[in-house]
Amino acid sequence: MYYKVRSFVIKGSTVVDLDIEVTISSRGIPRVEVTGVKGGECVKSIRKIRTAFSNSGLEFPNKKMNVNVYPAGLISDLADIEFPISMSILLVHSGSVSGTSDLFYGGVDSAGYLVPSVKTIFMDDGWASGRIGRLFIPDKSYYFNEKKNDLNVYKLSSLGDAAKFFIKGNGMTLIESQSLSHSYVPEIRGGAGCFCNVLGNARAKRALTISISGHHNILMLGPSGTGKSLLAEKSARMFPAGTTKDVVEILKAGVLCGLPVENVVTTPFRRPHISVSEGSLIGSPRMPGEATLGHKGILFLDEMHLFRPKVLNSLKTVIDLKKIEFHNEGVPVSYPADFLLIGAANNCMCGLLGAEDRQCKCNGKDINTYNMRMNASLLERFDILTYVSGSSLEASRLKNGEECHATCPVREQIGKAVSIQRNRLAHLGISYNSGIPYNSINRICNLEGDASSLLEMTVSRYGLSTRAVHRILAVSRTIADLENASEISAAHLAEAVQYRVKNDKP
Amino acid sequence: MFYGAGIIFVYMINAAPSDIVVFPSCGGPVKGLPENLYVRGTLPTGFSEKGLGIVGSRRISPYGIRVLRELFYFLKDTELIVVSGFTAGTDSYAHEFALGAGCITVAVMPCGCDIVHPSTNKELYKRIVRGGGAVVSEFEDGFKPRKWTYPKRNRIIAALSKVLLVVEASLNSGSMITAYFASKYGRKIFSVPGDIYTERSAGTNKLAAEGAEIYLSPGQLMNEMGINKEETRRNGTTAADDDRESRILSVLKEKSPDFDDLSSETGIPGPVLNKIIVEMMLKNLIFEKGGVYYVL
Repeated sequence: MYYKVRSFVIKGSTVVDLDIEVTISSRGIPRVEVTGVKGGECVKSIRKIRTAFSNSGLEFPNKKMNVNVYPAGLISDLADIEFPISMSILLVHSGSVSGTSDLFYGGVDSAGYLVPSVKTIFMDDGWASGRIGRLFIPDKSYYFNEKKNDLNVYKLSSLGDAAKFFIKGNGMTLIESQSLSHSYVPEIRGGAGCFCNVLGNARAKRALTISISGHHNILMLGPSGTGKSLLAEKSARMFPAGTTKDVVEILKAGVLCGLPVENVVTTPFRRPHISVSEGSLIGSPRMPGEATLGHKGILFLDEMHLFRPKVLNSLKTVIDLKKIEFHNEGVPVSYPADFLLIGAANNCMCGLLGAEDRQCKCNGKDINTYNMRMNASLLERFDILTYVSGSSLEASRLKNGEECHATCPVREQIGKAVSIQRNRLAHLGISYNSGIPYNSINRICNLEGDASSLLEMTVSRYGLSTRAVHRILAVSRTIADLENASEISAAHLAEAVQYRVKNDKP
Repeated sequence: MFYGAGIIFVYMINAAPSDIVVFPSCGGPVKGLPENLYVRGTLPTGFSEKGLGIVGSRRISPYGIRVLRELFYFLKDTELIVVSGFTAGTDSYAHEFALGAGCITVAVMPCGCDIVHPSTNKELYKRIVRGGGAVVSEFEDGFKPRKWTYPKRNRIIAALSKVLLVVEASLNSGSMITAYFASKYGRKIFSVPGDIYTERSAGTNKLAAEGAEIYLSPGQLMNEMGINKEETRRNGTTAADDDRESRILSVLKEKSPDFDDLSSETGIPGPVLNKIIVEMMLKNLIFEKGGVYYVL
């Protein structure tokens, strides 16, 4: 007797179909044999299922059984597919034949209850529509149904309930789950504190405002103790509220990284230490890293020059692609990594170069060696370069940071600029100006007459690359959006040019 | 001497061996110079009339950059031969500005001239050769720089110059050695005066005290080189197009502010200031380094 149910496994951030096939032989020594699984804890899972059966008052067939998982070798333990295995054993034993197009997912505990799963959130976005019949998942699992496809989702609390429904046709404890979409929305954090609490540094605050509004990567340079790290921390608080789609993506990224769901926040702010390895920053085929934890949030690299050069260089493609792609044992694995990169660094090894009242002790060679750690192609990926001098007159005049009331004007300004961008860019599938593709840049960034002549002069004066021009246009678009201007004026463009990393040799 | 401590950046160029030429004629009989020079590029002639040596600290200050920028603004297309030592800081700026002004420039190396030292100047090396200038050395190809080769190099810079300009130098620096050789060879020395409390101006101030000509404007040096041009100083306020530009320039003459300070000193709000600053940078009136603005 043979029975097949369907399930899935998460590889990278994509859902891969699995078939669970159970065959019961009428002859042979009673035992359960698992095939198609790499090593792992199969025997213990089967023992647990046996216990769950008896605790639920169900009979576990005392016959020779084969449980096969197809495709083979994708999974190494049965923890997430104990429910589908139990169901196929139950159904084949009760005399059902061939199989079902229903999909089951989840683990079982030894008392016979189904273990709530967070990985079920990956089943949205129309992945399942038209391909499976009904979807059975443990009660209290996370499930978002953005597109409201006509998929019937059922949440079950125990193996006993499932048996009643399938064998006796009794649906009394079923929960129709369609109404339960968005059952979980993490709390929006970051209510208190903003830039206004930081003294002086008007230029750097302005640069960060533009950076956050348009998702432009920013590098802050300046002597130590001038408030770079503080400004970066505050920028997480200035982050605009994400859309529901963003929230789901953040939750997914957190789940992929093994974060407990209650620890996922809506504005991730990751601040890896300088000793971080390539594997823990970028990730590996089996485990995503800090870059994915910072998805739809901020990745803050403090003392950026001191990170290992290999680690910094591996960031380049992640910044460009906004995701990380691996190929693991025949399966393409991709993790999301669409973060806002905020870098902070001193100008030299001792950290005092550029400080007004303190003397830097580095010699030219030391400064060269220090600057070589951040190569030009990495610098080019920063749309905004700003200097934090901390010696501003404004800071010395003000005794305290400005009082900021319930509604911070800067945060409101950012919110408005973000909504303008979302409206304009919705048809391209992006939300921020930094993502404007090359072929649309000229259509979206309309320059006023004197702005285009200014751009031409700048390009010829500084010998800017095509990428640099593209980035300048994107930044000036954001600056114009902050003022709700439809066209980019020369002043907007000039500000963007100022932030650009330029070659300062004559 | 304090040369050469730490790592030496060396970069070898795989190319044909350097040419060997007779040491070019320079002003006055000079003893103790090598008979031949190894040369890459084309060695110009007429050092005795057109040779301008420029030396200074490797840690050039914005003040030094400003002096060089102003000088080369007036030296544009004057066909001078700018001789310097190719190291980081003042030497590199001298070569760069000379190339920008269309002058021929000669780099004297403390090592074989197939070695790019420091290696960060690879691009500069190529541009000097391509720009009609030369990289020269008294040492054969492949000879690595040593502590003692730097003073030897400095005497060649002094010999090839008609006039030597010392931009910034501390008391025991290589620039002082070059100045010593220049005075021994009877060359005219211009010394850029500086703050008496600053280490990097101590050498130049000492030179001035010991009788070197005090460099006050490009005109002085140009007279000495036999170039006649009327302007001797860029007058910032006349170069300004409007009131706001002249306000910015008058602030920048006094100090080097960052953007926030410039905005509060001139009273020009940030968004407007951005546009004016970029326009002024494009007009070569001011420049920015490390977030701080300087007048040219």
